[in-house]
Amino acid sequence: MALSSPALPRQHAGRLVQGLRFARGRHWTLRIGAVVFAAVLVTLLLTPWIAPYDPAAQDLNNRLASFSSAHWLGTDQLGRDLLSRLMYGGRFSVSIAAVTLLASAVIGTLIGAVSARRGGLLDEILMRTVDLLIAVPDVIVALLLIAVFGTGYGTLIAALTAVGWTPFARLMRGLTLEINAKGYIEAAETLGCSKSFIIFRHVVPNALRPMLAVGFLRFGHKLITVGGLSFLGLGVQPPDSDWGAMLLDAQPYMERMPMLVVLPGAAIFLTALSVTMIGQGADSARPRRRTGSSQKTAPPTTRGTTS
Amino acid sequence: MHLRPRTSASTGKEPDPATGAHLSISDLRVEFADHAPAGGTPPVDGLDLTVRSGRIVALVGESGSGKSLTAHAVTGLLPAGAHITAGRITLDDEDLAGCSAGRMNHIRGNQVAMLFQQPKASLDPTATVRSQVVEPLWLRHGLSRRQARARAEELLHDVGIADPDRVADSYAHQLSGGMAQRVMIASALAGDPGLLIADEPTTALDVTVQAQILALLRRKQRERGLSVLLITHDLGIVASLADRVAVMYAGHIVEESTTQELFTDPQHPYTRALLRASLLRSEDGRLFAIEGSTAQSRGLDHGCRFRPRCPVAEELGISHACEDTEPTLHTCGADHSSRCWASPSPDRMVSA
Repeated sequence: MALSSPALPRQHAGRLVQGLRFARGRHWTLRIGAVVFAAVLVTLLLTPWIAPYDPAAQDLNNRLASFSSAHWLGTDQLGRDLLSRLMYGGRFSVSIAAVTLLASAVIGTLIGAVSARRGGLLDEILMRTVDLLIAVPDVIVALLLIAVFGTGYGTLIAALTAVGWTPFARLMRGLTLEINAKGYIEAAETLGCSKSFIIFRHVVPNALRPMLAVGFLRFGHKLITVGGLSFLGLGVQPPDSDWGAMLLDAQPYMERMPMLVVLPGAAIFLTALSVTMIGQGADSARPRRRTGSSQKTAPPTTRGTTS
Repeated sequence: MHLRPRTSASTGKEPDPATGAHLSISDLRVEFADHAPAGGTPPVDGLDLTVRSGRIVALVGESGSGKSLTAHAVTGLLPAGAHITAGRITLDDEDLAGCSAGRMNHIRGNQVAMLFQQPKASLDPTATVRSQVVEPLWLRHGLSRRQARARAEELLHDVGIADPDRVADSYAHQLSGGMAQRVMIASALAGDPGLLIADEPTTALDVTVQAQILALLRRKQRERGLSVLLITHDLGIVASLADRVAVMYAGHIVEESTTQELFTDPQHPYTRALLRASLLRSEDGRLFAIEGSTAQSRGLDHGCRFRPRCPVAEELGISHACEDTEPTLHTCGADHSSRCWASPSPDRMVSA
């Protein structure tokens, strides 16, 4: 391939090849996912400073406007700037999904590890609870909890966490059972290490890789669940709105202004996809073996080139 | 590795047998709960063993004889399903069978420590040596982080690691097998235990490293006056290291004596066969094999357990005695006991 010849000087074509190589190299899903998600995160973090308009500022003379230099992505049915609304909405969607996920992962990991290490009756009770919760769809249980305790961020996060920890607990239990059979656990036990020390020092770090991969894979699911609840009017309440609530608002205007639905939907889709790609990439990527602490593997400079 | 037995005189006088016991196991039985009714002998059945203070006792036997289960019974970490169903284990005059889980956890590490066959598998791949040797110290002995670091480096230096600083920051995969076993020795000795159980500590190492590790064990044992229960099936190691030897077969001891005595005048047919099976002993260059397997001895509920594989019973014409009654572990010489009808006995005549 002449295009990717290493002799080619740094110029426009060279950059293009570099870009292609980046996207096609090892763990390309991981790389692309990470870049997209990082872009989303930076945008959301900087939203208060870079958003062009107040997301709630109405301009009734300029409703359902199309793309323009004043409103890059147009305006909605109340003349609010769509780009600003997407940015502020994303802050709710992503942060709720992330907090829920983190809480679910931590609770699930602890319950799974304790369940497997203790065994016996406790293990039975915890795992049957997991079976029970897994048998009922997440959204139904979340709906029930929100119906009982009312809407609000706290309830939303609590409800999603209450149903979200089960897959983590089940996976962690399996991983812990596997780790339990390792020599270093036996060695730690004969040194008289305490139960909690063994769980936090040995079991959790050794289970971290698969747990992280599943955590990333679950993120998309969480994001969609949060959006779904908001779409049903049970999530983020006006005047705030997240991507799901934007979809709900835009529904009556879908035919006149399809972008009102397409853009929040695309935001949910892209964010969920990028995180899922990170998860898949991380799951399949194996750390490269190093023989010494100072020895580093040489960068793969010749990959993808033929002379 | 030489097969010359160490003379027990080199370590000083024998302590009084009545008082010098550091670890004493009597009539120990370990059973697996789930397949007990199937009959046959439990994996450990009627085991008696004494480790006197400051001595190295080797527990020898082939795979499946119950050596490792015995060790795990002492540390209170039997595999799931296995239970001590009879007997006593006494360490430092304390009955371990009656200990609470908390007390047992305190005893592990502080009074008894253990070395394993696979040193590299005994190190957590996600943790540095420092965090495995230091953190337990720091947590258990109330040392400050700084004191624990200094202590860990001292411990690593003491087991012959020239650059403790670098090794302390290494992960398991960066260490050689011998280095990993040195680290394990350091962490085992961290709690200053009186008894060290070494479960085939050098089996996974190559021969030159093996010799270094054995020398290190010997040195540590002398320095600290450790009692050691050495589990192995390598008679070369036994000869070079142990003061006493207990030969285990099918769950109990069949012969017990000083190393010198056992190697020069073995009494039990199984011991003799083991010694013949050693490569170092064979004269014609061919390796002797004991016919059959331990499995044959498992189904027996009466008589001698070695009977199905024993060459002596037939020769001496005493096979009915062997079949009818299980011999006891009886004295058959000065400081020597054997569990065989054919071994000389001062108070019992073998009927022919």
